Amino acid sequence: MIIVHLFCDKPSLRACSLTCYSWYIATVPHLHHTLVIGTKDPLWDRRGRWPNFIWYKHRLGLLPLVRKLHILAGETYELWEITPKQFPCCTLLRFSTLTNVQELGIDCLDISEFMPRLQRYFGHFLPTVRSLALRSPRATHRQIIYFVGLFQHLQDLKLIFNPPRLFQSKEAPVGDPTLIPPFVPPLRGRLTMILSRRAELVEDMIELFGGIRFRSMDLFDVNGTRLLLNACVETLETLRLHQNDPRRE
Amino acid sequence: MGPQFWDFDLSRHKSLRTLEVLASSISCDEPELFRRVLRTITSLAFSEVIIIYRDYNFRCVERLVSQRMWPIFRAMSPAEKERQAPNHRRPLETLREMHKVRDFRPVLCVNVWDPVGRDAVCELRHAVYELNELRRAVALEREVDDFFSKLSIISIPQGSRPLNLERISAYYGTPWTPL
Repeated sequence: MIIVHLFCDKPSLRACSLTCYSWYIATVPHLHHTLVIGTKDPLWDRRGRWPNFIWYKHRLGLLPLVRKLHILAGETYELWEITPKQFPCCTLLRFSTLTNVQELGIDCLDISEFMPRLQRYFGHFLPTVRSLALRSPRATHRQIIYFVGLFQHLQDLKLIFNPPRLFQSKEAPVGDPTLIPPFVPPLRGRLTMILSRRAELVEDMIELFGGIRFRSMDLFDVNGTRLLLNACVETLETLRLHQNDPRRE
Repeated sequence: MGPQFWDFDLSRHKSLRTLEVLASSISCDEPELFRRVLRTITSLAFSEVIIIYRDYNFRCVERLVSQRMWPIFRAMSPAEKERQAPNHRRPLETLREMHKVRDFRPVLCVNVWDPVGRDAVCELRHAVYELNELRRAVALEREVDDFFSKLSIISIPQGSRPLNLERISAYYGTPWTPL
């Protein structure tokens, strides 16, 4: 019980883990609960960068303890893309041992490059992930919806787009109408959507998932805000308001 | 120009309980804009307005004048904290203006990284204390206003920054003072 209260205080947890074996067992899930992996940003330690950190944690057998994973592009998001090239067999093998992740955040995921073999790379996340955050995803809106639809127990969704990339996105002209998500995730938690100028993303998400039922929303500069608000009339409990919101519809 | 947040009609959202407003928004926009949104709410469950404070709302976080804009945290002396308290008066006053439209429980939420957390909560507590003192002084002439007595301050720790702050400081040539 004492150790649970220290879950934010890593130095104290580390000290506790050195006390005895039973305290080590109690602290280790808290110590390795969150895994943040950096990219090529010079501000990251080399050991904390992709894929070194995955290799290091795997060697110690700690990856199954990770509940929250964030692959962070940092300030280099303009230069960084996550594609299948970052997953050679040996890295993918280690990456696949992340079997208990509940919160998944990936910056600059090039979903279009992973199509149609998304499950090969992310299949181990699908049964457990409850919260998904994608920052600057490179994909058409249908591909984003398809990716979201893979997570059958997904409650919270965070989509953050960066304006400069929007103009270079690989948006297919017709939006891949044949791409139907395999599941309809519950999506009853929080929706955070920032700088989304693609009205079709909202329209298609509502249509393909048969409506949405978020309890909480944080929308900033989203094309389709009214649609989202109307879709959650029955369920919305919390709404975040933003200053001088320049959204256009 | 599309709809601004103050154009939102929330009259159909019958389960709405909470409005969240960023402290930076509430400092810049007119209270009337927030009052307008509040007037549209018809939900019987509505009970709470939360003002979200982020790292940049506090003076203990300095943004570097560079393209990358990494924040650097520095410790503040108690005297400095006291001097910063009046900066938080505007959001608190706006909250009070909003309360005239509709009854709700005001909550200040400190949603910052751990190194800023303690100083931030301390700054806000001082700002609320200062306003309460001011109200008590005014109350000698007017009816007592107990709005701020209902106010609560909560803190959501964001965890430590997953970066080595000393390393960032060295990168920019700026010293970092640990708390």
